[in-house]
Formats: sequence, C-alpha cells, structure tokens
Amino acid sequence: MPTHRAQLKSQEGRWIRPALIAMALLFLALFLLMPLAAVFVEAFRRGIGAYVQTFTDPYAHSAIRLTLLVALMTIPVNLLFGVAAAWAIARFEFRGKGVLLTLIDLPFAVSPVIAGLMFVLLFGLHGLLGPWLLERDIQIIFAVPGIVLATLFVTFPFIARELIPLMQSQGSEEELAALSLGANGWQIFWKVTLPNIKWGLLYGIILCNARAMGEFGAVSVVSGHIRGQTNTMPLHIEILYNEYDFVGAFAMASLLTLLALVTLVVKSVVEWKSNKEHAHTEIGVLQ
Amino acid sequence: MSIQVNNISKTFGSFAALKNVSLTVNDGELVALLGPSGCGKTTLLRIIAGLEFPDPASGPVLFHTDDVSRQDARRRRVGFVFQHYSLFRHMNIFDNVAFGLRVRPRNVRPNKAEIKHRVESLLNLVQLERHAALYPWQLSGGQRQRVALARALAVEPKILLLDEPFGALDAKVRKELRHWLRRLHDEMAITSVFVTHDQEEALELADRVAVLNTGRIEQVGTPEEVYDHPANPFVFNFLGNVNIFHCRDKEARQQVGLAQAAAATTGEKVAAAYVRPHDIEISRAADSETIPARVVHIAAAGPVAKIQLARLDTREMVHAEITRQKYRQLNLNTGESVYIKLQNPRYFSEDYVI
Repeated sequence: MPTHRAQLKSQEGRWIRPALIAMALLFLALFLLMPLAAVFVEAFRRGIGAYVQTFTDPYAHSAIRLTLLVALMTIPVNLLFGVAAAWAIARFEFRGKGVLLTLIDLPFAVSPVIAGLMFVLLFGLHGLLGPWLLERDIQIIFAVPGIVLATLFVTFPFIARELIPLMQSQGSEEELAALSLGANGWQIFWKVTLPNIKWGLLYGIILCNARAMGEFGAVSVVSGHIRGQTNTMPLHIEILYNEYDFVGAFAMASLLTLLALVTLVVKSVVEWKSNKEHAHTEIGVLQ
Repeated sequence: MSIQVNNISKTFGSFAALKNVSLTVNDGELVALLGPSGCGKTTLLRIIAGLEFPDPASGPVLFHTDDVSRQDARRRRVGFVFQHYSLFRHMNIFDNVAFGLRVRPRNVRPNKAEIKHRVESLLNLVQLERHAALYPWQLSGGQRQRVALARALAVEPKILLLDEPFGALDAKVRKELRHWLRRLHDEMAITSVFVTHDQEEALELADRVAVLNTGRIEQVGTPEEVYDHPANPFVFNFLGNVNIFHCRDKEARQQVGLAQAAAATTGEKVAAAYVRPHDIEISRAADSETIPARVVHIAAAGPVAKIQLARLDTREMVHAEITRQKYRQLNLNTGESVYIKLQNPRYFSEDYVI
C-alpha cells in the first residue's frame, strides 16, 4: 500500500507542480511584468529623443529635485526615530510598550489620503493651528513642509518595523558584555549594536526611501499641485497624464520604476548578505 | 579584592528571585554559587556585576570596603563571562579580546603596540594564539569560552564573575576547562565567583560553595563542610544521591537498626535518616543493625559498582555504591538476599519539605 500511495503522490506531482508554477508565472506576467514593460514601451513610443525631451522641462527638474529633497529629509528623521524606537522596545520593559508598538503600525492601517487630510485639518487655513500659523506667516499646507510631514507620517514604520524583531532576536547580551568591559553608551552603540543591525537598518532605509519617493495619496492632499513648487514626481506624472502627455508621464514613471527595480536588487543583496552572516552565527551555536 | 553583599532582595514582578541574601567572598577566593535552575544564583551574580540592581530596600554591595551599590557594570570593572559567551560576532578573536582596552578613555588607553602585546599574551594564556584572525562562529564551544575569559581578563579586573562557565560544553571539554580554570585562578589570585547547577563542578573547583534554593542561601562552606555536614535535607539532597530511611514509629527505627534515630527524634518531630549510596554497606552476614534486602540490579561498569536493592521488610528501594574490589569479594548476583548497614546517617526531622 505505501508504495502505491507514494506512486500516486508522485503522479499527482508530475502535473500539479508544473501547473501551479505556470499559474503563478502567468499571474506574475499579467499583473506585474506586463505593466512594468508597458511603462517603458509607452515611455519610448516616440523614440529616445522624446524620452530625453521630458527631462529637459524645468517643471520635471523641479519635481525630481523636490522628490529627492523630501526623501533626503525623511530618511534621517525616520532613521533616528526608527533606531530609537526599536532600541527602546527591544531593550527595555516599560508601561505603554504595547501602545507604542500599535502606534508605530498606525500609518500602515490608515489610508494615505486620510493621513494627508489629517495634516490639512491640523495646519490648513481653517485647521486647528491654521490661524496661529497664518499670524506668523508660516505656511505648511500647500508647501514643502506639509509634503515632508505627510511623507514622514506614511514612512515612519519602515525602519522601526525592520529593526524591532531583529534586535529582539539578537538580545542584549553582547551589549551587556561591552558594558561590563567598560564601554560607554555611545561606544556600545557604534561598536556593538550598529554592526549587528546594519543589514536590517539598510533594508529599512531602502524601503523607506522607495516609499518616500513614490508616495502619492498623502502628498497629493497636502501639496496643492503647484507646478515648479510643490509637485513631486508622482504628482507630476499625474498632471502630465491628465494633459494627455503620455510619453512625458511614462518617461517620468520609468524613473520611479527604475528606482523600484534598484530597490529590489539592493534588497536581495542585503537579504543575501544578512542571511549569510546569520547562517554563520547559527552554525556557531550548533557547534 | 573581597566582595560583600548584604541583605540583597530582588523581585521580578511578583516573583522573588532573591530573599535577603548575604554573602562574603574573601580576597583571592574561588566561590561557587550552586543551586537548581530558578534558585536565583545567576541573579545574584548579575547583581554583583552591576548588570542587575537589587530591590531598593536591599543592603549594599561592597568591593573591599567600597560601596558600589550605585555604580553600573561599566564603573565596577569586574570581568564577566556570560553563559553563552556573548562574543561580538562581527569582530575577530583579536578584536574581541582588545575591545575592553580600546574603549578606554584616551588618557588611560594603551597604545596600539601595547594592546597588541597584551592581547597576544592573553591569547597565549588561553592557548588560542593561532586563532586571532578567526571569527567566533569558526570556533568550538570550548574555544569560545576561553576567548570570553581572555576578553574579560584583558581589562585586568580585580574580580572575575562567571555565569555557568561550562554549561554548554560536552563532558570531556568541561572537565579539561575546569582544571584549567582552577590553575589560572591560582596563578592570577583573582577573586572569582562562578555560577553552576552541577554539584560535582562546584565541589571540585571551588574553595567554598554557597548552596542556593528558592532565592535563599541554604549553606555556605568548603566543599567538605557542605558535603559532610549539610545544614538541611535540601543541601544533602542537592549535593549527591541519597537514600532516605523513614523512622516514623518505634518499630521502623528498630528495623533500620538505628539506635540514634530514637535519640534524634524529639517530641512530636520524627527524624528520617539520610544516607549516601557509598555509605550503604553490603554484607553476607546479619547482625543487630543490618536490614535484609534483595539485589535488584547491578551496574558494575565504571569506577564503582552501583547496586540497586529492595528492602525485604518495606520493599523500599535502596541505592548502594561499593568499590569494585568489594563487589568482587562479595560476588553479588541479581536476586540474591544480602544485608545492608547504614554508615554515617544524618537525621533531619520529617516535616522539613524538600
């Protein structure tokens, strides 16, 4: 009987496995690869000249500049926050830890459009702090600060979420060892903690960056779509598309797509690297 | 440097890990904290190191005559060897050992050549001089333990604390490292405390042993003292195998042939006799103090012959250990009836719960 069963199983496997693989591939091709290819096909529809032409537009320049600026401002803040939050949650027991963990996840749960709207309700002309800001001539909504704030809100879980499980699984014994050897907090962080979390941190930064550059919903609500001033790349793409400038829209989109592809490649490298190091420690434990 | 802890208590939430523990470790001594898991021995060690802080009502921790209660691990300058070594996984062996020297403030930091010299001599000491460039994951458990020790010694601590130093090693490596650690301790004359749950390790290695149970120190003494004169049944039980002979009524006392049991039994409290397996004497001839028993099982491989017997009167099991020579003389076989006699019995009242 066992032999019969085994045979049946392998016969099943003979056609089920390729079928499943084919289905998965077909799905991937249909929903991921085709749109991806479409972006580039559309971008180059009128030749390389028209493609390059898109990027000579000063509005395009300013959109790219603004997107880079937002990413550059978002990442350091999230880096600081992410490491601090992960450190606090992984290393210390305190009241309200659960609440903090839930709050970190909040941006994942809230629709980005709602997130943007919250900032409008807070800092907008008719918002809670609007009159106060107006008196002091500080503009947040429909200006760069609003875009940065909205992006910060949307991206802040990425680094913390990446680090918390990593730091929890590594434990604090190495840090305590460093402490007992006379290292101060700063030395412990730079010489022991950081080297151990560097791959996770890098991965978190990559994800955070990708999201910061690609965020549409939250930014769309607070930006005001002022060309040359508050238009980020995703918003610029929408405007070009709405103006029937398909080549321009897709050319711009191809840049963001390239960013996504680079992110994926770096992510795989980082995962591979950290797995390799992790495997080493695992083997070490078994010995 | 001597260590003194006074009235230390430590609670984690509602769990009392230590209850009013006091202990003195003399200068240059090697003391073992021995006890079952969860008895608080590691907590006590970490409190001495400053990695954990006792409850506010606790007494001070003194190093020599200095009160270090308020200092953290960084300021106490003790060498601490962690149970799982806790080597820095991204540093090679050399950098691991050099860490404590490199993090010193600039004005007291040795220069590069001095650090190199010091690390090399330490690696020499732990016999790992050829492994300096390797990473922790490339070493065996015993080698890693020695790196952890070298790393702790690099900062020239006056006190060395070791948390289950041989816990994760296999039996043979364990024994080797044990002798090696003892030699090292004697050469460096550094006050040391180590935690273990292995009574053999504690008795063999330590100058004095502190036996802990449920957050209290049950007894402190030299290995001979705690082994030969255990303060209570727990210590007796924890330090080795034991046969317990209940003497609840007069008849039972007569049966076990214990004239002293009657004397040890006062008032309502009845005593039980505790006897080590090697204090069970087996003979072919009966006398007034022997108990008849049947041989149930014999394990004669190893340095002593382990004989399992069943008392003919109560059917209770008795474990005996006799020399191989004696075993050959007696020519014992399974199923035979013999007589046992209790040597060096210790009496503890029966209401004492182990």
